[in-house]
Amino acid sequence: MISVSNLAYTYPKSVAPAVDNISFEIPQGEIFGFLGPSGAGKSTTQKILIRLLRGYQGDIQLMGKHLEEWDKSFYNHIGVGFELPNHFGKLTALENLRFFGAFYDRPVRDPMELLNRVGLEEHADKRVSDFSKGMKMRLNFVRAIMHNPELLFFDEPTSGLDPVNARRIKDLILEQRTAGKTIFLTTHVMHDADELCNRIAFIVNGKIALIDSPKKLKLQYGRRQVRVEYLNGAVREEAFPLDGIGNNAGFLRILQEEDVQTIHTEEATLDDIFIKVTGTSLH
Amino acid sequence: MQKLLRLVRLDFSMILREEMLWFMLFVVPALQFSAALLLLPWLEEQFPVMAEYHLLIVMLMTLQVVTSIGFVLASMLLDERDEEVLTALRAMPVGVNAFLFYRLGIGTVMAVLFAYAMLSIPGLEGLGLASRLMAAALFASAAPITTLALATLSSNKVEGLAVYKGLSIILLIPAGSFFMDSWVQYTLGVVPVYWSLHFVDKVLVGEPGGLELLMALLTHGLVLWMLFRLFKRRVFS
Repeated sequence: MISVSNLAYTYPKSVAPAVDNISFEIPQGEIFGFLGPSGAGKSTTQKILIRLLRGYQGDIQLMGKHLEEWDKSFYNHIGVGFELPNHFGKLTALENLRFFGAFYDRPVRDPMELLNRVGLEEHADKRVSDFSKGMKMRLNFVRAIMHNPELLFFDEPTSGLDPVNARRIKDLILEQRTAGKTIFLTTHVMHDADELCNRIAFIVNGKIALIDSPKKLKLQYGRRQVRVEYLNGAVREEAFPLDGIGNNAGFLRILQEEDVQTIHTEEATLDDIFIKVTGTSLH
Repeated sequence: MQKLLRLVRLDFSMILREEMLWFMLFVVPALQFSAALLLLPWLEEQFPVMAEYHLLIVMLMTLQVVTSIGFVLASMLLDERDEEVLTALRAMPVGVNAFLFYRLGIGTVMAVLFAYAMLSIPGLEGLGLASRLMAAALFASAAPITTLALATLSSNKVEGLAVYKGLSIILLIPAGSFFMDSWVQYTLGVVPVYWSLHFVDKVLVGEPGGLELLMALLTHGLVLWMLFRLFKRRVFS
């Protein structure tokens, strides 16, 4: 669905490249997470992929065509959820969706049904200028999917959302994947990436430091052991190797004789892996 | 066509929801039209010297009407720039160029209608249908020029208002050529409005005004092209 080969881009009046010779492929039906700190080159890459930035080096193919071969019809096939809300403030949510929906050369979904999916049905006739940031972000999201595109780009889709609405948006993203859509997700929220993405790429200083599935990475960079916390007068903690855990006498004794509080395997978190691989923090 | 009508309807909804915009779009032209129709003849009766400048006064009032339309559209564009809507439109099949052409086009069509009405008031009967339409179109070109100049040179509506006042003065300067006899008057031709004013003046004295029409088309086209490029560079780079 997306094939990027040796992509590089340097902004005018800048010496250092914002994107430095990166390559990756995303098959159809995958959620691909692009993770990195601010200024790492995430948004630049996304802007190139959605044809907002020209003058790049390298080769990009999207939906079987070189990016340069696409015309304006490209935007009938992709949906973009921008990082910052961008709507007509004087129009209502419903009017905004109708306005933008009028630009597509393909059928668009019922705006009320979409607003309902993100909990905005009661605010359909409210002017967007009166919306909170979270409401605007939800409107951003439904605008991106309203024309049923094959390829979706989301930039920090849960930014500014409370946990309930973040859950709604994440469920809708997963629903899009189930429907066979390909999703390019730019974020620095490791938890979202871990939960949603089939594969992730860490990008730092314009370079991709690593690409793999979150599960593999967590196992690869974690310790193969189990940490048990139990009460014995005071809270005590012991760690046991995962290999042969079923026959580990110490582990079995604690399970049988002690007041166990918690048991955790020690796979790494994506945050830990990011710091280890890139030597920098996401925040 | 249905899509276009939907866009126009939503655009008017936005205008009607902001007092300053509907005032500038409907009230200012209505006041100018009423003044040209009722107040101007009365003033010319009271001060006969004014009658000598009837044509010039009507043309300048026409300019005021079309620039107020340009101001309204510029205000909308400034809002849209602040709200990052133009960025969203770049990721739509229509593209931001088409949207800008639509916006400027709607403003120009309205400006042609309003300018035609202004140039139809008594005293300008010498203009035939074709030359009146042509003159209306030339005057109407000041609307997109105003829109692009304001949207390019100002960062917000308050600045836009200041730029609008400055631009209105610049557009009035070519009127000075009617009080000059020397070649110096042609230097005012750098302002496209100069050629619109002189086109109507020539036609009303029975001359074809071909050169003025050509120069008006060229200068308006050039200024519009430059402003369009500047606007896109300012907003999208």
